[in-house]
Amino acid sequence: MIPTELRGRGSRVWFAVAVTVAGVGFFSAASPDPERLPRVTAEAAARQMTPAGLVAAAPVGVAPSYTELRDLRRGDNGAMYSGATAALVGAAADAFTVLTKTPADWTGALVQRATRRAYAGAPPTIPHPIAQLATNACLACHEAGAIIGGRVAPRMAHDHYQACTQCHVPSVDPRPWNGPTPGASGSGALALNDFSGLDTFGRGTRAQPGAPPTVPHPTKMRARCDTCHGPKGLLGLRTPHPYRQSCSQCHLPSAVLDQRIAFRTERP
Amino acid sequence: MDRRDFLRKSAMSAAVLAASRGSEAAEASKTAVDPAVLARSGAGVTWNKAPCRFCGTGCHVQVGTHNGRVVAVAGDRLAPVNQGLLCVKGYHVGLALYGKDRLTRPLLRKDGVLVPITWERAIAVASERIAADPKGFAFYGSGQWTIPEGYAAQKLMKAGLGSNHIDANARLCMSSAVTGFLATYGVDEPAGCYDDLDVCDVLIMWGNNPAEMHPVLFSRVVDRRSRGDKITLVDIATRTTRTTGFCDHQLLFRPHTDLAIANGVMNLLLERGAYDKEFVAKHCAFRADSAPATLQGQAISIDEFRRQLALYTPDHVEKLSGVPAAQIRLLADLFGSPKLRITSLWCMGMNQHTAGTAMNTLVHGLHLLSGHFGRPGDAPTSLTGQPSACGTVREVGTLAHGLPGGLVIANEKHRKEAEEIWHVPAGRIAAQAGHHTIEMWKRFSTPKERGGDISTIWVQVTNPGQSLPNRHALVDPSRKLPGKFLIVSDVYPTATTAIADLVLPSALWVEKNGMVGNSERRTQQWFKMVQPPGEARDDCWQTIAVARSLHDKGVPGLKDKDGKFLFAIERDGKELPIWDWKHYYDVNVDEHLFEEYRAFTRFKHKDLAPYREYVRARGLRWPVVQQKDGSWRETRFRFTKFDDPYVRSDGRVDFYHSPTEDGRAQIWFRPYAPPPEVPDKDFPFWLCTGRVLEHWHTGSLTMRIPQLAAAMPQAYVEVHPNDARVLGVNNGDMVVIESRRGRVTLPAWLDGRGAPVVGSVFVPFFDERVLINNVTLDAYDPFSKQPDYKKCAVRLHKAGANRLPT
Amino acid sequence: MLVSALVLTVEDGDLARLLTHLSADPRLELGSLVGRRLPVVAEVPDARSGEQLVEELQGLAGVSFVDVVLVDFSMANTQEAI
Repeated sequence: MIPTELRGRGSRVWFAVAVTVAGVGFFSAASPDPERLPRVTAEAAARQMTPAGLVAAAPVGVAPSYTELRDLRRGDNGAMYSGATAALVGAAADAFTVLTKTPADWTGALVQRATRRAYAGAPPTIPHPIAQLATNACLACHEAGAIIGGRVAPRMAHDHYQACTQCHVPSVDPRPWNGPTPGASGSGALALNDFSGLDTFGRGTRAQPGAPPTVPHPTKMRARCDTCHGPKGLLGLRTPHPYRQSCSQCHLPSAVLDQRIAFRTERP
Repeated sequence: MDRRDFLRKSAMSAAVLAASRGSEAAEASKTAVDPAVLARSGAGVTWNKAPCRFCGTGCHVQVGTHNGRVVAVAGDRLAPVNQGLLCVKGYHVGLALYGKDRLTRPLLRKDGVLVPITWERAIAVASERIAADPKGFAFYGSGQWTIPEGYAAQKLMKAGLGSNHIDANARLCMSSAVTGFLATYGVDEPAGCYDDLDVCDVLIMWGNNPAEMHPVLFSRVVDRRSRGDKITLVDIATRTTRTTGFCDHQLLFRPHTDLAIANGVMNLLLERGAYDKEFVAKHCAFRADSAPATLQGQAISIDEFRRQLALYTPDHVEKLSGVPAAQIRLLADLFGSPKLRITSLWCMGMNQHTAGTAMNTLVHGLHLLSGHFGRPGDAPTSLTGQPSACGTVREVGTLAHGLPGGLVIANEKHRKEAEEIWHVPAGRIAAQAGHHTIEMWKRFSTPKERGGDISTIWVQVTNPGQSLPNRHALVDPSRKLPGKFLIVSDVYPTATTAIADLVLPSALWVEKNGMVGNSERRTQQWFKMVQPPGEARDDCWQTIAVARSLHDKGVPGLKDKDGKFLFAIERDGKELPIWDWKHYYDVNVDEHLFEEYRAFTRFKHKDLAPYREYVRARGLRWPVVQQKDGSWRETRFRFTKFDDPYVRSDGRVDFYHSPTEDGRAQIWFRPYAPPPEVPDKDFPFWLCTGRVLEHWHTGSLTMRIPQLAAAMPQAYVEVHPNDARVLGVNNGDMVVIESRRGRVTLPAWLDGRGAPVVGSVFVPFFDERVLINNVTLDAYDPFSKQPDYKKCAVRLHKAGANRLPT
Repeated sequence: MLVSALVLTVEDGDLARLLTHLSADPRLELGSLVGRRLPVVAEVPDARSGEQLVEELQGLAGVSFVDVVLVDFSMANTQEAI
């Protein structure tokens, strides 16, 4: 198990350093707290950095650098990083926590979702910068989902797709310089658009009061219900019974939205 | 809190929730339905199928419409191409309709300014220009023309005006693929299909970046890894891209030396005896360039072939290309393994190449020589960049030398067949091929007295003001010459409408009926779902309306042998006035044009099914042949005994359109020769141009989609950090790129989307504010006439900085 | 021991009398009425007595439905045949 002191904020900071490659700037809110950093004695550091049997005298009182810490993974602190990941993933609300939410939470959740989607059902845009060329680092946070410094990195709602940036593009300026924004200057109309997309697929229907609601949205790309409805989801969308594992046992998806029956293909 | 308390509290909250939910539902059912809420909640959305508007992959989307507007898009799960998946452009394709500055009225240039006019006036102006000089009129269309649109333009020109001056922007993107297919198999378009991607063991990408340009196809391969499949991906490239990250091997080569690589691999196969002797003996013949060079070349023996190739030893290839000899051997190991299934993909990298035809034939030759052909997973497949580059430009033949169905102007018999189907007098079709794209625009930009015989060009569905190479020479002069008139049909203001004399506002995508054909011979259909904005109207209607106006003026050729209008559609013996916009949708014009066009498709075994079959399907791959039970069967693997109904022999394959008419495909010897322009002392850098994931072509649609524009807001120049250090350039610094033809200024990006090698730079061409085609070279392939956008020599300096003496 | 969450749908009529009756039952804990629905937590020794309780509640005058929302078996006697 993870040592208790690594469950604190310090371990989150360490993890942030490790995955900054994946989400540059995502962690800007998390600042290191020197008081809570895991301590590594200089002696231990020296033992790990030299060939077996030769213990070099190390200056006392010098804090190890990040690089040194990384190199120490096989030593006394070997469990540090793996523990950090588990701690972040586990940092979710308890599955048995009693949930109180109002219809306003639901609308609020939809409004928040709409800020990252052109319409209900569109792939969300990425709210943080990404590495433009090497884009396979997404899984560091999004494979299992994580809560870091109060921000949620949602678990992917779908599996088996390898090319994340095929569908998800950043909504923050990718340029490492300040360039002209389309729509702001030049050919003024670029990026200005009157599209008004579907806000929501609405709520599921119930056969009678108390019956489980149907799934109101398509389930393609949304095979993992807990991404949005689990303990890390937005409050308005969370299920009151996250401990139940088999969602489709009670909640039926729509055959029309899931295209299990053919759409009309005749001329309107 | 003990466990019992906890359970009791949880139970209470569950009970309270259940009780309150019930009441909520009961309350909701009592509330009157507010239409605004309906719109928000998704009730009342109608879904219908359409192929995506963007690239040549041909994904089907489900378009959700509500109150006459597109409100949502979903991947079509019944579509075999994409199986429910899309890319970021496809997911946002619905937004392409709603840019704020849609063109909604016809505009005519008066005293240098475009002013609104009526449609009647616009059609009259266009037809007056054409009637005044029919032979000086040229039509410039695109691979975004729907099949009926391209067919109508084709018929107006070749059957009506008796002129072959019709060409399309596909000339700039895949004509070398066409000549490659013709030189090898005697007939155009890939033998394989996307099903190869599901079963191949090795995927070789020749100068191709499908992770960004054909993302759905790329996913179709790499997602197999998630299911435990082992696939070897090989990236043969001049720069590192997002695709490279997924690849097992990268062969980084010097621009233009891909010919040497292919030759090196073939040489090794012969030397090792690792080629497919039986396949070659039965189904192949060898060929090399003739003097003078023709597309057919001349036959050579396998010994002659072997002798010529012998020069390309791994070490020599390494010297030419910079690719380590070990990697040439690795490629030969792969091709030399008969058990592996190998699919090759390529697109612009191989086609926009002054030796594009040669390189295309080499890759086909490599697959034929090694026997990696004609089995699922074994295929050389060229991809296209536009939704109907295949369906319209190649199959309808909207090119200066082409006729529908793979027929050609040069063949007298073909002309006769076409005249018969079009029901026009013999000799109506001009025997001389028309001006290909570069020639057309060169002559438009040349005064009449100096041979500039093109006086009017009508541009539909494309943006040559941004996409033609060496714009200063091909486009700009025409704008200052008297007597040159440019008509442009488009949906948004572009670099081309900005210089047009007459602008016609067009309907876009699901604002009209349409049919297109993708890279795997799949013909697709959709119905109009929403009205175009303002006075925007279908391109096909525009062509027919102008044709009718010419007919009414008595311009010869607009009537068939019986004196009927060329585009006449009759009902109960009465002609329907489809040239009148009010009546255009009284009948399905697309269906009528398509059924007429179908007659052409039987000659080259590119058989298409009746229109109604496409209404039902998510596209069908030709040849689509009717079965005994009346059903229509598509063909996945052309020329193969097990799937293609036209295969005659008992062998594994039959190349039934062989250029040598003996069922054999041609394996070409094509020597490596240096490109027309290479970096030198004055212009020391290679410039490559291309695309990025978010933007499609000249960005006239995608730059108006906020999500896409935000993700990639402007063009940039990709520079290697070492070069940047020497130039004193950092991220965001403005850099001047200059060639012998022109210059642009744009910011540098050192660690961005792609990584160039030292001594080369890359610029995406989507940004109309940075016309990189002022810099590119207009040298073209001798057979396909396709220009090379992928390499020319440039010099760079930091904008504002003093230039070093050269 | 089993903890269950129930929702009783009650009829208009002598509601006060029904509520008094229910609140006197030591097995039940009543929540506050939502419209005509009453959330209830029940604690019974085993499944059989749970079923009896539901039948009993269903039989009460003024109760039109008893919905069992959930039953927690985590503290049940494992020897008990369910």
